[in-house]
Amino acid sequence: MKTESRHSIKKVCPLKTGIITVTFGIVDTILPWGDYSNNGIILQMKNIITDHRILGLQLFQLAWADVRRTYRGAALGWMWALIKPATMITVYWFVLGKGLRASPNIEGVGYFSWLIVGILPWFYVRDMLSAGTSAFKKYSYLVNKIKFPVSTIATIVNVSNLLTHLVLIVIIGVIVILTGDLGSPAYLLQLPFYILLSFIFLSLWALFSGPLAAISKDWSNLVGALTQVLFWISGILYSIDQIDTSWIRAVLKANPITYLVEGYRNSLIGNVWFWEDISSLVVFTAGLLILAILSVRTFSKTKSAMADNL
Amino acid sequence: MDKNIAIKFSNVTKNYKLFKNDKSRLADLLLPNFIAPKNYVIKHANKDVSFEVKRGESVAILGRNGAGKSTMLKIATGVLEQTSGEVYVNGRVSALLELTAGFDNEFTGRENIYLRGRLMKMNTQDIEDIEDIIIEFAELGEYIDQPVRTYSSGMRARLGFAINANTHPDILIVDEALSVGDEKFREKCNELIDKLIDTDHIAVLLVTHSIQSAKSFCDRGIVMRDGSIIFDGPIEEAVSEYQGS
Repeated sequence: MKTESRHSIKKVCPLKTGIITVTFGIVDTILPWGDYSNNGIILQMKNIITDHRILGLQLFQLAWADVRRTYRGAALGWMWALIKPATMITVYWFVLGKGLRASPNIEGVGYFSWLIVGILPWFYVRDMLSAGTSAFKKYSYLVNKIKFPVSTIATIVNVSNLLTHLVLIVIIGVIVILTGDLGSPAYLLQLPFYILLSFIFLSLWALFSGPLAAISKDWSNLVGALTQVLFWISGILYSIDQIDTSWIRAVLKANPITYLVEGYRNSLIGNVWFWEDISSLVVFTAGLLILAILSVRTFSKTKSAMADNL
Repeated sequence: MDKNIAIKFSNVTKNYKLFKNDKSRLADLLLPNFIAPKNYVIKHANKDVSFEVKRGESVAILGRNGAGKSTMLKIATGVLEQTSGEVYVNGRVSALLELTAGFDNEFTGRENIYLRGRLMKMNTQDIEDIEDIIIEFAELGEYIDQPVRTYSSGMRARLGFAINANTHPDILIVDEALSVGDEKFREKCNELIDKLIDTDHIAVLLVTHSIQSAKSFCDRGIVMRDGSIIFDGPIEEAVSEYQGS
């Protein structure tokens, strides 16, 4: 009987097994009681916070070293942090704004300003989708060569990308002022709020995605493919509000990246306070909580496997 | 637990799962209880390892490649987690594991001193106090302000040893690093280790393939084979056991 049942497992089509595996895995990760490592989620969270306390201010030095490492070895160095976004912006602005003339004016603001403010958080998100995924692989010497508060690696990589992001915010901010599309300065006050939300969101992402990528290459490939999709569905090039079908609009608006993109627009060129759209904030916060549970569980479960594998 | 004990391993076993492919590894991670057990082979890197090291003792770990020495020391350091058994570590561990030694390649030697000091929970004042001692001991001269990626393996080993030995550890673990140093540097290390054992009463664990350095650094030897300890006793006997194996 036993051998027979094992044979029947093997016959199941791989796609189906894959889907079942992933679904169960996710459910198990979300549920605090589906625990194999004998540690409650509160304890796991405490461990991660302790990790950060151990590293302390050293975290920022490591993040700064990470910035230097990213732009080292190229003659233009730092300039690449600006050339790459500038190229992308030019292409999209030309194709969509001039060529297709899709959206000459959105919400009373020139399409160019509307585009660059929306694409600003995307550059940060895009860089962290990939940098967060490869974080633990990149710093494998901290994982398995010395005793190191491993969970801080996700934060180090995120702080490094945040520094680049802040520079870009200033530059794009100046461009928006020059085009005369800057909204009422009071709304600028909520920009730090949205930067903070992005930072938390992406830190959790790195803590979730990094360990999976350290265990399996499939994960990095999947993230690479999904990044493309996310770019087109996050309301960066066109306004989600233009979509007629209401349920599609609702689904796309639940995407946390859409929320961040709109948040940056509200701060720089819009006239909406974050508390005016409370339902979107609630949905975003709920997503953040789920991601927090997922990332804490995933990290804690894979921590020891990571040291074995890397 | 006896305060004099620095490290105590009781029946420690470390298994690695060697998976057939990445897919089985991911599946095992997500669904450990439902995966067919035939997708991996279990390798026992450490099998039922028990030993005790007291403060003030220096122990050489001998064994051929793949005997489980490094795995054991990584567990003692806290880099790896044992599969089963008890590990008791009393005090701050300073470990020089392999030659790259956990340096950040983009940091200069000096910045790495600060990084490692912080990780040993020292404050800036404490680190400043030992900074010059480390630089002098490592004989790096002007190279101390160059990125570590430009260092030779000998320079890395010297800096690694100098940092680890000078950050006031209770337990010092050195894996292979002394083998790249020249005779003169080894003598210096020898003197420092003797001093640390006599005055600070620390415990030293040393992995080496060199019989000569084992004999000069340590009084006691542990011989490992296939993940298990096959001999634990005076260094002379341990060496002949190792050479006979």
